Amino acid sequence: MSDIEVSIELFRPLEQLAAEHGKSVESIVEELIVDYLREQRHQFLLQEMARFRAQHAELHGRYEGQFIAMRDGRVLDHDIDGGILYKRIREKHGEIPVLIVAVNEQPEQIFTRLSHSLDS
Amino acid sequence: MKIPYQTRYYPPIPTLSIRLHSQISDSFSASLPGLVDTGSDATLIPMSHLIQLAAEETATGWLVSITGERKPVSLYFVDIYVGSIALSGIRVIGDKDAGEVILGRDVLNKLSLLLDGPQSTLTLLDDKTVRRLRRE
Repeated sequence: MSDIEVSIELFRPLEQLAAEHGKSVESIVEELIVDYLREQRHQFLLQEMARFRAQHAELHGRYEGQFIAMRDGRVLDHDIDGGILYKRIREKHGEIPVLIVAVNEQPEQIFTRLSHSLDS
Repeated sequence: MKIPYQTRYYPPIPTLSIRLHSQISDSFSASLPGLVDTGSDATLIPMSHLIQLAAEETATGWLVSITGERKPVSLYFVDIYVGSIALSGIRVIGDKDAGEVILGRDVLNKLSLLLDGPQSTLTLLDDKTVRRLRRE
């Protein structure tokens, strides 16, 4: 584990929280970092979805029925199989967030569940 | 492989035992019951399982119900193991509200299943049986 310095004003409540939950300060900090990174990735993907939406008409003409990998509004790669594309992108670009979407008639990735009501 | 229907639901519902695998962390989930739901386009996984696997979100989407309501969801790629069958790189929905795995048609349409309602069992058919049934 790397050493990270935290101000004493932040450390004391963390220690208290750790004691209350029977956890170590390190495990709480790790949880916070994981949550933060997940949220940052989600925010990035929301922004990338907006870029995808804006370019959808052109992309639909070129990649209809395929998955594309997009970052900063640029198509990095494409494949008919989204799982294979994800693997290839992960190998090439590592952990950096890359949007992987199916290029269908509408830009939104919509799934239907007929057997379920969302409020039930 | 013969699996009894889950009787927590009425009428009982067919389930398949599955394991999730993340290619990123190379980790497996424990064995999980997956409800067979042909009314669902895609497979839904409770977020807690995806977080445990350290699976990475790859896109955002929408889940639409029979009443037309929709809610935002996150999409992930994971491998799904059903018995000895490995389904690689399946795009699944991560659902923070879900309590259990829902197997949708993206997975079900890759499998040969026998739903024996009167016996309340689901059988994952072997290749030999599938070939015989297709000839009949």
